[in-house]
Amino acid sequence: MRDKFLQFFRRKVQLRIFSGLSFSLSWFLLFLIVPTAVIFLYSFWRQEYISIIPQFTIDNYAQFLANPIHIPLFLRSLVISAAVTMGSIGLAYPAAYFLAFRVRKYKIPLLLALMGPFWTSYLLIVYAWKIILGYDGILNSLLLNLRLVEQPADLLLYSPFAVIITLIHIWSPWLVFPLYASLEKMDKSLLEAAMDLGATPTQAFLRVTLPLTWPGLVVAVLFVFIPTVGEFVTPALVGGPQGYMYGNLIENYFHLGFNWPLGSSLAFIMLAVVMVMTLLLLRAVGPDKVMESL
Amino acid sequence: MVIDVELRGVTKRFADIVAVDNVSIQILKGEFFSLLGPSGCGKTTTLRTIAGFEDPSEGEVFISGQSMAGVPPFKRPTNMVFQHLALFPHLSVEENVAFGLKVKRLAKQEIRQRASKFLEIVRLSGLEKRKISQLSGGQQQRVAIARALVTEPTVLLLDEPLGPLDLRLRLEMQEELKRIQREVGTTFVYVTHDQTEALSLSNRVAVMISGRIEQVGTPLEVYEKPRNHSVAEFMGETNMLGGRYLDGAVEIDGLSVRVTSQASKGTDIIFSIRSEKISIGKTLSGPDNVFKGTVRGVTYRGSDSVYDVQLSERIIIKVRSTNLALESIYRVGDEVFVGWDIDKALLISSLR
Ligand SMILES: Nc1ncnc2c1ncn2[C@@H]1O[C@H](COP(=O)(O)OP(=O)(O)O)[C@@H](O)[C@H]1O
Ligand SMILES: [Mg+2]
Repeated sequence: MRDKFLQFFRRKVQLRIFSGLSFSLSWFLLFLIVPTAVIFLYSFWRQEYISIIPQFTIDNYAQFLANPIHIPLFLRSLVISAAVTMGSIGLAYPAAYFLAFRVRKYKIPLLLALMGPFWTSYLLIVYAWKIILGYDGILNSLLLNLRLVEQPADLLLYSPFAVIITLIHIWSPWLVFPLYASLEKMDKSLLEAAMDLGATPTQAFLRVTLPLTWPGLVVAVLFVFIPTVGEFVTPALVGGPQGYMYGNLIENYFHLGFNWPLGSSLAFIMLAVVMVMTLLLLRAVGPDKVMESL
Repeated sequence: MVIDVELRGVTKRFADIVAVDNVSIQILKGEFFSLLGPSGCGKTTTLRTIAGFEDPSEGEVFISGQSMAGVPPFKRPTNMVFQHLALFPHLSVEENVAFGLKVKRLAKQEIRQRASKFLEIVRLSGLEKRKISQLSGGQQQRVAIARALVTEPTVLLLDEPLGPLDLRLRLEMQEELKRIQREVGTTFVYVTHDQTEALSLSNRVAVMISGRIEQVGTPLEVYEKPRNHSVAEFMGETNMLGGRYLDGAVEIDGLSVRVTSQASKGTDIIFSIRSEKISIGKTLSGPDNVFKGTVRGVTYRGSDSVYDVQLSERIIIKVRSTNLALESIYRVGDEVFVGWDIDKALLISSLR
């Protein structure tokens, strides 16, 4: 059995190689496998002052567990990421739903408009939120003018809240497209059939629309969740100490701390955890269904 | 007689087109009622108005005597078998059938019992766990029918449910539909453009043309006694002849055609004579009207043939004849006699 599998696998690999190192394969190697392998390798080496010693050690992984700030920061990143993902879905799903089911004309221009932030510079969005949430910012002036607060609230900016809002702004347009695609593909007459059989609009949504667009939703979740776990620019600019994320930690080890092997091990742990979560999610939904929804 | 569905002056406009034009019909409890008409005449729109997917622009729909104005589809006691079925692809056969019961929040036990009862009625027992995509076209039809019947609606609406099936399967499903309707006793409102289907299945047929109901009656009535030109023309293959009525006969392109008519002398009348009511032969005696003609076209259809026979310069009539023997199959160019009794021709009063 195992031999057969290996044989099969080998033949597959040979096929791939002999079919002329397809473009996609070389792309895959260049931008995914190589950097990952480099990080993986570094994570088992040792740093002494400014030089890296290529000597096998699992010390970096032990340090990940030993340092009491690593794991809480990692968990905080996961929580922030999850909040960003849910917030983005909360914004993007209704928009995509409206576009797919209610709008008749000018769907594509509207879709492009909804994806507005996608066409905007990342940094522009971050700075915009700095201006909105800052101590003298737009939100505070508004609250003051409405006499809702006595003095400017200083917890708006430099908080996990600011990080989450900014990241939702940045990432939600990425969701509109896959969600719209899966909703648009759905046969609308199924909703009429559901209502004809006595389902209220809510029941029709829960029993028909949601299960049929579920794979698209999973893809959307991955689109946002995976990149935001390792986020470090936004927390550095609007997060403050409370909004500091795991990505900042890694960045720190690479730059200020000058400990590439430790940074690498932290990065690799994150990669592994996210990968496992992704695989579990894909498996729960069924990979073929996810492929279909793309 | 209990009236299950009543349409009172229902009109439905989409922008500038009138899809349904002032339709008033009464459908009796337990009846197999058909809406028959050419494609685009407004049948689906009428059905969707009954189901609640379209609001009438004018008029009102009543079900069991209750006005349906403002009642959403999910609160109406109607269920529909959609033209393209609209089965749920993510659910199994059993789950599709159980859908209507689940949203009504019935007990699990009862849901299972009722679903299995209706799967039995449509003869799908044993396929409960199948996916919809693993069923044949005919089996999918049955799932759609069971799914719509399981909640025991007052009225079942069927929109050309047998359209995509091949001929043999269609005939088989027609029998099945009749049986199912007898068994459950639900009122069926059946939409079709196929007159044979409507005539063979229904208790009553409404002939719909360009959004209007032209005639409602038993299959025999609408076929044998079409009320007007449009119905006569739509039903079956017919020959329309028109001319000036003079003393028991009509003068048409040099032929004198005898008719029974109460029309007064000198008026223009039009009458219809169906292709199958005309006899054809190498020799012919007996019918009140006999004319000599030449076969100009032949459509051989196995059990019968349809001939285009030219009687005069401008008159070519269609004649359908059962292929009793090889000798009675004619060819283009054959000289033949055609004829019919005067009571076979139907007077259509208006000359359009
Ligand atoms: N939603 C709609 N919007 C605009 N026109 C429609 C709509 N639905 C139907 N129609 C028009 O109404 C007429 C009747 O359509 P329909 O009821 O589907 O006919 P049938 O079922 O007899 O083929 C057609 O001319 C069709 O184009
Ligand atoms: Mg139709």
